[in-house]
Amino acid sequence: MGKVKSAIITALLVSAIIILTLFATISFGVSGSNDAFMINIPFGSELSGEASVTFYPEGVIAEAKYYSDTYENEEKANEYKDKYELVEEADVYVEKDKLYETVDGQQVDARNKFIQSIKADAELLSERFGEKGYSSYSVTVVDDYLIKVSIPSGLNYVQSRLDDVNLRNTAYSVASHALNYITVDGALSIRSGDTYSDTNALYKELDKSNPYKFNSFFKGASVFRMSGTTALKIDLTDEGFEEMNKILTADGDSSTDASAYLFAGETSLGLTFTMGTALTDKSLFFQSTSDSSEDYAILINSIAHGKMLTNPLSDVENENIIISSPVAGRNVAIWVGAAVLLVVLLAAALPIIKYKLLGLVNALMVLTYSIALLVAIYLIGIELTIGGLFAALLGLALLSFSNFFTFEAVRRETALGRTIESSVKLGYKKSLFGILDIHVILIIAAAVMTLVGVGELSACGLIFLVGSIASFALYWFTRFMWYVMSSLVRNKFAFCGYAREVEEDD
Amino acid sequence: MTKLNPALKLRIIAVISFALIVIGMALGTILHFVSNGFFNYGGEYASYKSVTISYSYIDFQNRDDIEEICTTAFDEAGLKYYAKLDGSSFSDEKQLEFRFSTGTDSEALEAVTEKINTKITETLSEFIESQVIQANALFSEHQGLLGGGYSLWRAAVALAVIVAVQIIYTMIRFRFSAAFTAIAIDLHNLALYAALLAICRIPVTSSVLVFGVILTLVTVIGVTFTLERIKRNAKDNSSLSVEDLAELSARQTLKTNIALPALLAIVAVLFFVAVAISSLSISTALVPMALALASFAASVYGNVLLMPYVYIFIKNIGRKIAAKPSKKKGN
Repeated sequence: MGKVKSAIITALLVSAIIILTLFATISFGVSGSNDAFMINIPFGSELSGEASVTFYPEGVIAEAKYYSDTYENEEKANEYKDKYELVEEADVYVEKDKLYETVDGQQVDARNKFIQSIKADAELLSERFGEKGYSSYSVTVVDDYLIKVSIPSGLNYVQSRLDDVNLRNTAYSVASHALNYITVDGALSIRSGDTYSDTNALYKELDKSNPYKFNSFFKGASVFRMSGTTALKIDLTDEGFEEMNKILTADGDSSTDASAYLFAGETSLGLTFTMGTALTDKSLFFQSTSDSSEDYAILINSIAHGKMLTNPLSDVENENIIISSPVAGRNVAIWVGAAVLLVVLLAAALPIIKYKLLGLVNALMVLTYSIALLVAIYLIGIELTIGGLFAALLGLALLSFSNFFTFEAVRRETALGRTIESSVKLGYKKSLFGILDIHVILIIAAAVMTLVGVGELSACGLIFLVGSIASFALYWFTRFMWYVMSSLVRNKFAFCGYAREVEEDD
Repeated sequence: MTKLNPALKLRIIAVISFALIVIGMALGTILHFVSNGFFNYGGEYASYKSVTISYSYIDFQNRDDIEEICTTAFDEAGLKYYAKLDGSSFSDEKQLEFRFSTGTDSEALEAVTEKINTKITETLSEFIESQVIQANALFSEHQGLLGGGYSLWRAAVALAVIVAVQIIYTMIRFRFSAAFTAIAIDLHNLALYAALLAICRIPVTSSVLVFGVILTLVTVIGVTFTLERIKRNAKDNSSLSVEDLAELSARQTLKTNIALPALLAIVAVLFFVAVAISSLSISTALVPMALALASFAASVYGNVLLMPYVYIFIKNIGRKIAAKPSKKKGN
């Protein structure tokens, strides 16, 4: 390759890296333009904190609410005095019906039974939130009577740094939807209107031995994604399909409008069916956002499998959601980012000491890998956690390992007195199968992690999948750039930092 | 110096591994029934105690006053919190939450909560009386849940599939003995990792899954790399015995098998330093780093020390099995 051609290719690559780095890190104040994409990557709760809500099961109210409700209201005060009892250790008032029950005409303590039912509800919620695939989440029973659910706040770097509700509006809405719908209690039903109290159930339960029969009409629910369209997909059983058609095509039902609505407990899921129109397929699709579809699918699956909460929980308003700073402090993202930057810079700089200009080729690959990973994480919308960053660096280690392994193989060939060209050819040939074996297994392993794992494991798997593929592609690109950049220098051995073996004359 | 034969080396290394794994499993099983679980569940699985100060204000800006009242009260009572979280709601209600480990004395925490409430009322009386600020401290005990272990069993399935894929690939590329070696080392490393966690009682968070999988990936890299070297050495020098072949290949791959886990351990330490600086608490960052180091220790031990001898052992068994029919033929 000519020197001019190689200089142009090198300059193009370096320019691409610089331009992408600029777009990644700098926001341009042009109207309608997006911010730097690095800024828009959502962080997991380790880096940006969590959104949490404390739920009050039915029959439990906060001490503060008790006082605010009864303040200067004697009638209410008397009513509450008869109805509630203070549980001091939890600072809550609990309905006496929940704390005591009558057995054989005698009042017995039912406190433990109530506490156990709250714990069982918390276990079920933990299972439901586990299916949401959050990088981390927690469900705790607080002081025996309350349930606290914490999920990642989903804030990006700027939102997590600036404590402003307007900037966090979207995050509040997404968290609020998940916290509201995944925690819904009660069985599925189909009703004539969107408001529970004003409407009738369209499927009348006749079989008293199976009061939740309507639930069994649902085989399951999932999120359907195709070409940018997201929908909730509900699969009906054969019996469910027939029964739903009977309901939807029944004459004379006093429907308040021409639609039927799916409810879970007393909560409308906002999923409507057109009355008078028979279903043609056992799979039903409801267009919705990805997050909302996930929430509905988790809820419907849980209820369809007979898993319902015993105690209805308090509703979630945006006002109840607390967004907290990360456990490791407000600046954790900056410090971890600095650590990642240091690792990347060391991975780029240290090989230059050993391999001279060949190390520079490797440095270009390290930077290309880093930018490629950032772009992929941003475009795919992966929630970034410390584990995810570690997975990305594992991919970087794989790339560096592949390159050094090959550089050493080439060095061994040059030690036998071969030219650089033939050494590179042989070195790559000899190291090919080792590198290929490792990449094939790791790419499959990463795909398995992504598809089978949930939460942080799945996110890490996806990052590592992109990293492994990038590593293998850049491994070959290293060879190309080695060829291109070494064309610029006369002494190819000095370019690689290899000592030239001089054959001695006899 | 007398050179130990491979069989003896395998015996020594395997006994150490076996002892560690048995101790870890036994300890974990006992603690599962008498204490807080097989592992010391922490993080999102954790139970903890908290003192939360909720405050709302109109134009009172000095949150640091509240924090100072709390930290002074904790210091005076000799109570150490492991995390401090600043929270805010959509209606701009603020929260300052201090988290304590479950071992912290509840009575002492309740007493200090009352003290904080009194102190807040005294110090900020001017703001409270004029209703510029409302502040209240509350002590709570949080009981963590495993949630049916959903993420744990999905991770276990993922690991099982990864190991299965590696075995199938190894079987195709390097034959049966190599596949058996791979599965033995994979299982050994994972068991050793689990045992180390059970013994050290490191609080287990979801990071345990991530590092468990990273351990498997590092094991896959190390084992595949060594097997490939064994195959190439066997091709280049067919006169070498299985023992010499395995030991030579292990020596050749020694640097890589140590360097990769070591590099990842260094990255884990760097992360540890970053998190520790941010949280101003070593304990917060110690857990993931300890998990990382446990996984890398398991991978180096399995890949470097155990693997060549397991390979020799399995290869010799294979030879014996292969030799049996020929003996019969000879008879």
